[in-house]
Amino acid sequence: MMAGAFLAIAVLELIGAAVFTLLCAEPKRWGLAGKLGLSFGLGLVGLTVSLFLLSWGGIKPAWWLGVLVMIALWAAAFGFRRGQLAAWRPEKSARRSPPPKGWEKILEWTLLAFIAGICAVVSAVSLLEPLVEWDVLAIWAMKAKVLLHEPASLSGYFTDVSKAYSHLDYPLLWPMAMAWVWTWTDQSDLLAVKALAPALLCSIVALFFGLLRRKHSRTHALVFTALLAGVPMLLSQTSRLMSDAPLALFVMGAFICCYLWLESSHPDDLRLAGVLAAGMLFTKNEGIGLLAILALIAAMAIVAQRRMKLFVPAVVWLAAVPLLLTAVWFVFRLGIPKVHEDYGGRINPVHFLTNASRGPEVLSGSLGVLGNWNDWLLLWPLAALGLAVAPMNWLRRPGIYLFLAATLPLLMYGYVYVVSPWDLKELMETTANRLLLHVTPLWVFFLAEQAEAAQLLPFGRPSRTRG
Amino acid sequence: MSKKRRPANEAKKVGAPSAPVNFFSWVVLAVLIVMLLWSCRAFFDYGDLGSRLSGKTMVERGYLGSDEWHNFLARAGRARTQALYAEARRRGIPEQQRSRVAAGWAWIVETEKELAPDATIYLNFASSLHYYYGSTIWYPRRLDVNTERRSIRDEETLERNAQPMDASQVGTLRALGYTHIVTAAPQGARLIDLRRMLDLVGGATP
Repeated sequence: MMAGAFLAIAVLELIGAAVFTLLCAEPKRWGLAGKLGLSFGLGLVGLTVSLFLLSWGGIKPAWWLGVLVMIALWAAAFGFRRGQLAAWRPEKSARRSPPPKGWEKILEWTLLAFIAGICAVVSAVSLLEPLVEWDVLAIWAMKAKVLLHEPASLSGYFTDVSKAYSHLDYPLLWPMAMAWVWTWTDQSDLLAVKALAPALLCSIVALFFGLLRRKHSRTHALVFTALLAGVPMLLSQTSRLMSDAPLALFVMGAFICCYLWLESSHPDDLRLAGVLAAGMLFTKNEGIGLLAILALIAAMAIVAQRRMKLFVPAVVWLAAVPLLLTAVWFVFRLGIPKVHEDYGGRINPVHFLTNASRGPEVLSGSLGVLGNWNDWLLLWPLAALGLAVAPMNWLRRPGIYLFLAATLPLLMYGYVYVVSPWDLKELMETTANRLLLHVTPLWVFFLAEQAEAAQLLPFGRPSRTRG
Repeated sequence: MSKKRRPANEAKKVGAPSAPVNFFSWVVLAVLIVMLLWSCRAFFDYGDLGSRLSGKTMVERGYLGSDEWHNFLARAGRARTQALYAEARRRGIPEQQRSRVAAGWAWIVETEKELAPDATIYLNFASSLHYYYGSTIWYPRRLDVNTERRSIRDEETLERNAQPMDASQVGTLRALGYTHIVTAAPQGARLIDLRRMLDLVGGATP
């Protein structure tokens, strides 16, 4: 059973590798860890969007359909990107950075052992523990089972208000990924589907390291990857298959690739940001607001730098591509009855002003969450320190874009808490930590940038952007 | 970037080490080290949980996985549950606590074996745990709390729209196609096969 689940993950990763090869004209700009992390994210988007389109067309997900998608994508990669395939060959690491000093080498090995050890121990527990998390069972696994048993277009589930507690209009990337694993195990086993957890955790860690390595030395990248890998909230939510963890992966990929593009102007970075942004839209409804923030930051940067020739590619990749890739889902969603929260209808500032008295309560509740040692250790006090040290680094371009990327989603969530009609204490108790997870990798990346810009660590080396 | 942008090396000068930055740099380094050292606790927490999970059946592992009193993962991200656990620890009674969620999860998973693939089940009491988990774990078998499709968004609407049946209405349920009924029991819940029940009381079985 588990062998089938791991095969499903392998095919997903291969689909992502093909998408990566197709998107990148210069894949050598990425190290192996970055490539593997990106492949998982791109594979999730490529596979689940394809399977949803088929499901919408009346065809249930099947293992062979995914294999066909993989063959088609690799055929396209061989056809159009033959020259880029060599980038997948292992390369000599010494080529990129000077060999570390003695103590740095020890530090690197220690950090690497820490990261590998934490991924291994969390993965082992994830594979031993079946699917038990409340929201995952009630919402995401419910949808996964529906998608596994019947095509989306023919299923009565999406209009069945007696199952409205499972949020009928929530996007289908994560449930489709779960259904995909089950197509390889013959039955919807509560244990086999957990194979997604180690893959997700390792991908988040690998992608984060790969993104950091685009700009920083290996020691610096390892320190901050270890910092992220040690955050209890990330480990627990990934291990339990909460959908906030894949959303954090997409938010990290889309925003940081866009940030790198604003520095490098390399089209590969923009293309990756666009496809990963589609993942945000198809994972959770929050993705709509997050995409708006991403587009806003990109527009601000282009205007501020007076580089109007970048405007068209930005519109194409940060708006048109994500919306086109998920267009069928949004059309399908129109037919789903709205019986739950309608935050879209409450965005009006009138609601905000009417509920402004909730502001202080939101603020105090947020401080309580940010200071929760069990879930976050010292991450948020550390982030505050990062802001306090050398503020000129993040008040100026390009640091300001990263700061906005990490901060605006929090303001958006704060706004939603204020306009929401529900009991605030209860709402924040169940959601605040998870929403915070969406931007956690962005904040750790921000800290890494701050630490290097202000030379806070003894092993900082000059920044560099490949490409 | 724009041609007018400050060069990267100049940017460094602004944030370059000065007396206060040096102080902060040591503070940041200290906090980083504390955080990384404290993160090592994950090895013990996950290691201990892994050792308790290994060698057990899937149902036992699921029970432990759902048990907020004996599994830190079941409390993760939930401040109120963490506070309750801390209070129980302070009073020295966490071992005596029993998880309702864990018991419900285990019962639903074990009961699945008794259900035919085409079974249709009626939940005769308003329990979000049994309704939500049962709907997923028993799928594609249908689980209802009302013979009509009423909107159930949360515990409040579940309480309001659940329609418990009394013994005299068993025949009605059967006529509507339900094969099983789940009733409340002192230990949680009980699954009853409506066809056998009607046989016992002499009712007509279609």
